[in-house]
Formats: sequence, structure tokens, C-alpha cells
Amino acid sequence: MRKVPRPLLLLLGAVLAFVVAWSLFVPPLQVPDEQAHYGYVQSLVEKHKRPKGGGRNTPRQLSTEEEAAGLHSRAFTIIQNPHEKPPWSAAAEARWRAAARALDGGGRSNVRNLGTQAINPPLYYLYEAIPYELASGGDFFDRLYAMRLFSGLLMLVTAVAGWLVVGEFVGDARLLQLAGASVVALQPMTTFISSGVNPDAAFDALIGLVIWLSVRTLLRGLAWRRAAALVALMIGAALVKGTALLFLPAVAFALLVPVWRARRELLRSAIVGRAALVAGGCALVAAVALFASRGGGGQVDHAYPKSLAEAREFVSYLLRFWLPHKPPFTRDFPVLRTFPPYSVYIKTSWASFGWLETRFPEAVYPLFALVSLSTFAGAAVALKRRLFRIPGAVLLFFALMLFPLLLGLGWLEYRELVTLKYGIRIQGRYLLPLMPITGVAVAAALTLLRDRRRELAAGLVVGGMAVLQILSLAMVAGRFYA
Amino acid sequence: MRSRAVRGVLLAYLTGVVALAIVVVTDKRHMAFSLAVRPAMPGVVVKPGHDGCQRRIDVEESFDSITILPAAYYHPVPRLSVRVLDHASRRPLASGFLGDGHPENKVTPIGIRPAVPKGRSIDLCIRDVGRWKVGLFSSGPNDNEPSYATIDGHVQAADILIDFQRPPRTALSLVPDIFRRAALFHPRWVGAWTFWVLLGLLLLVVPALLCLALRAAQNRPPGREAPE
Repeated sequence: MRKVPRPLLLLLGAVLAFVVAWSLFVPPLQVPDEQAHYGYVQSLVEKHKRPKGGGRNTPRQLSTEEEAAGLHSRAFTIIQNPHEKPPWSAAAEARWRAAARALDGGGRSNVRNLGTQAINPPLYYLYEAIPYELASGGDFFDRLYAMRLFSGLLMLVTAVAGWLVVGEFVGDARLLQLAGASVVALQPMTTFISSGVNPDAAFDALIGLVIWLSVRTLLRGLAWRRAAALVALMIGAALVKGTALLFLPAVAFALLVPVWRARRELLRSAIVGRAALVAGGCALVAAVALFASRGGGGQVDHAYPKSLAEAREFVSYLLRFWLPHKPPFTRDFPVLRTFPPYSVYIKTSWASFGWLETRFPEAVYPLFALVSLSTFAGAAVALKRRLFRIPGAVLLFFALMLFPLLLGLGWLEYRELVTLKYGIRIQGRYLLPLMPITGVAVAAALTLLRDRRRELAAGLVVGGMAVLQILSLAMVAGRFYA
Repeated sequence: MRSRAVRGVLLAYLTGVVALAIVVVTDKRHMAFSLAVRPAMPGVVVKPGHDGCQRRIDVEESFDSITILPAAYYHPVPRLSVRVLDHASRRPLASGFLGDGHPENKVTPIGIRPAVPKGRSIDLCIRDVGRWKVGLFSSGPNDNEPSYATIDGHVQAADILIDFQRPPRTALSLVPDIFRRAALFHPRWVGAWTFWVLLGLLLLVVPALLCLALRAAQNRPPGREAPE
């Protein structure tokens, strides 16, 4: 068995400290949709079935126990209400304890409606059923925080995935690998989300591993065990979020490129057979994603434009979303009044905690935009100067991971804005599964620097990410407790 | 000798900690506690000579002023008299007064004398002593159990938006309170001590781990070079 590299092990130690801090410090139910995700697990454990729901217009009806805990901890009323705080007195907690005692262990099985989260596939919730069951002798908060800590362990998998992806490109240059991996492992939003009850924890981890195996396949050729593992991971991701479908073109590409490369050495029948196997694997993933997410019916009213007019309007929406110059548009969508690539993808992927309301001062975010742009621009220069090598097929794979996701998110948001029905609110955190690609970009950008400066810069990257986490936690403290 | 990478981590940490120190020393906080009421609408309307009260409020921290959000229907806010009563005995504890001339629909502070100490359960009553009605911004009745609003003793389906203020304190001086507050509504094994331990971990152990990780990452197998 291969030994875990010491730098990775030490990095995981730091990640674990942050996971515990985020898990315990964020007030209950102040991670996006945490109350519904908790309710899903509760329904699975207490009623042995998936919860009802699916539409935004039907209000969530949580269990009596969760409603009582939310009421006494003001969990619902402080959501997106940054000037208001949770209770700070022991008396409020004592009242909740009395109310919880009055339930006498009951009130857990009447989860009646969870809205859009009810259509989520069940794998992450089954995973979270383990801590729920283990802590089932305790009260609501015993179970919630056990679930958070258990969910946070997935952040370690995400960190390992980041390490492995970057490692595919840097050989034995552990310093570059550590710097790139730290961008994934110490990203504050990923840690915050993973340390709450939220399926993105599992999704980010699984997609990170999917990226690793896909890159490995593109770099080293097709190995059937690896391909099987890749399909299994994609099925796992599809059983966590239907969004996995958007990564299917990239994974199919990663599996088909080696088949194409070997076309001269193989018989035609072997090529066809391998391509058919890849297609079959992808079809299986698609079927699992659609079946497990109930056809995705709770997220969007239809999956593609149904008329030329609708397609044109969607293209127009995308242009307005992505271009600083705004072409005329018939509808007034609030998100389009800003410059969404910045206001959505930069701001809410770097630091937007709680239910998006807990943010740094506005002046900080241009710095994040600058760092993001510099990183990718630096990586591009490093590639152009051949200081860092990423094969064209891998670059195309990265693009295939990114663009269908952006397009899919754009479509979901566009339909939501038209129908005001399904509750999608486009957020930067939906790009976080692709953080390992950012890790590669950071490693590439660092190669622009000569040895001594590179060492210093690598240290600044690793330390900077950790400091950003600490500042983020301080901001959470100010939001909820001061 | 320390590597440059380790220096980089330490430099980042030092910069971050200094920035944080500046913020926590200069950031002054006034809020004693809040009722977490959303300003949905001016749902508690008090006519001249009548009382609107928010009852059974836990005094989570001592306070010496409150803020409300009043609507006066295209007038300045009428004069308001504020009384703080002990919830159980109805004994007056403190009072305050808002004079003429305050614009409506703005967060309006009202001083309270003497300061109300922490730990009591109180009623806070606002009497309209002006010539026209005032609407107090409020939200639904479940925002702040067990506290509830009344008008002239009649229970309302609303909670009044009131925030409780005290003389400013630096964020640094609030750290023990922050950790005590963060431990509420948690498993019993979590206490303020947990967050002190975590603070130590994040400020001391994590940078040490990262420095060690960087040092380990720089110890390449002999004869191998990083890619250029």
C-alpha cells in the first residue's frame, strides 16, 4: 500500500481543524437549505422513505422537532436578515430544552414537504443517516452537529482530490502540488458548505475525484479498472445531485480520446466495442441521474428551449449575463442589473456565508476578482511559454467540465427568472466542484516565478488561503454573535 | 534555516492576524441584543394616548437605549414615551422619551434611563403621546418566542421590531461573549471552551502544520528536479 505523502497528511490536519471550526461555529441551520437537507435525512431514517415536495410554491413543512428547534434558535427568522441575531441568552436555550423534552423523543417523523430539495437524489442523505442514527439518542442539535462533522469529513476527500489532480501535472514538484492543492483544500466557501448539512459536500468530493481520474485517463491512456472507477464515481455523483449530468460530456470525452488515439493499433470491432462500452457507461450515468433526481422536474420546467423565440431570448439573456455591454433585452431580471460574472461567480464563490448575506465589505471583492484573473492569466502565460504543460486534450476536458455547467446554470436561472417557480438562485458555489482546475492554474501560474520567489509565493498561497478562512470565520462571528 | 515557503506562510499569517487585530480593536459594536424581527410592515399601529408593548423579553445583555422603525403616515414621528417594566411584577424599571421632529421610516434611537440590567424578563411599552398615530414596524408573531406584542393589553399577531443597544464595545472585548453565545443551541459537550481551543488551533497549530507541510514538500527525492 502506498504511503500518504507527508505534505498531504499535514495539509489534511489543517483542513480538519477548519472543518471542525466551521461545523461548530456556524449557528444551526445557517448553511443554505440546511433545514431541508436535515429534513431529508430525518425522513429517510424515521419514515424509511424519501420526503415529499418538489415545488417552490409549496411551503416546507418540517418535522415538529425541527420546527421547534428552529423557532427557539430563531434559525428561520435571521436567514438573510443580517442585522438580526440568534438568541444570546441561556434562557432561550432552556426554553428549547423544555420544549424538546415535552416532545418526549417524538415529533421526528412528520416531515411533510421539503420543497425543491425533496427531488435531490438520496446518496448523500444516506451517508448522513449514519451520524443521525449514531446520535439518535440525543436531541436535535446533537444530531445536527454530528451530521455536520460527518459531512465535513468529505472535505478531506475534496482536499485529496485537489492534491491528486494537481499532482498529475507537476511530477515530483511537491511544493507546486501543495500550493495548488491548498487552494482546493482551504477554499473557505467549500469548507463552509462541506461543514454544514449540504449535499454539495459529497458532490464536490466526487467531482474532484472524477476530474482526477479523467485527467489521468487522458494523460496515461484507458485502463479498464480506472474507467470503471470513473463511471462508478459519476454514478455516485449522479446519486448526489442531478447536476452530474452536466459533466457527462467531459467524462465521455475523457474516455473516448484514448480510444480514438489507439484507433490505428486496434481492430475496428475493438474500437467500436470500446466506444460502445463508454457510451453504455455514460448512458447508465444519465439514466441514474434522471431516475434518482425524479427527472429533475423540481428544478426546471423544461430542459431545453421549446421554440426559436425562447432560444433567442435565452441567448440574449446569456449575452447580457456575460457581457459588460448590455444589448437590449425585453425582461428586467434583477441579476442582470449588475455585472453577473463578478456579482455572482466571483463574490459568491469566494466568500458569501450563511444564506449568502454574510459577506466581506464590498471593497474586498475586487481583490478576489483580481486574484482570480491573475491566476488564470498567469497560468495561460505559463502554458504559452511552455513552463507548465497541460496537453490540449486536457484543456479541452477542462473546458467541457466548465461550459456545460455554466450553460446549465444559466438555463436554470433563466427559467427560474421567467417562471419564479423553482427556487434556483445562481450562486458561485455551484462552480466549486471545479476547484481542482483552479488548483492546477495556481500551480501553473507559480512556474512563472524563479525558484526563490516561487517558494515564497507558494508559502503565501498556502498561508493566504488559511488566513482567508480565519478572516471568514471572524466575519461569521460578527454577523451572528456580536 | 527557515525556507522561503515557510516565510511565505508566516508572512501571510502575520499580515492576516495584524489585519484582524486592527479590525477587532477598531470595530465597535452597539447591539446588546435583538429580537430578530424582520421589518415586514408597520403592523403594530398605536393611536394617540394608547400603548403598544412588546412583552416577556429576555434581557440578554444590559441596555441603555433601543431602536425602533416607526412609520407616521407622511408626518414626522409623534412624541413617544417608553417604559420598561418587570414582566412578572409590572414594576417600572426604566423609561425614555422621543421628542418631536424625527423623520418616519428611519431607524430611530431612544435613550433609556437607567440602564436595564441583564437577566430580567421585561415588558417594553411605547405610548403615543403625540397627535397622530404611529405604525411600529413588525413581522409575524412567531419571530421571537415567547415574546409577544400587545396594544392596550390586547395580544397582536405580530412582534415589534426593537433592537436593544448599549455603549459601544470593541469586537475584541466581545470575544468571550461571542464564544459563550456560539455555544448555545449546541450539543452539551460544546461550550465556550471549545471555541477557545479552536482559536488556539487555528492561530497556532494550523500555521505550524502548514509550515511543516511546506518543509516536507521541499524535501524532494534526491536527483529529481521540479519541472520548469
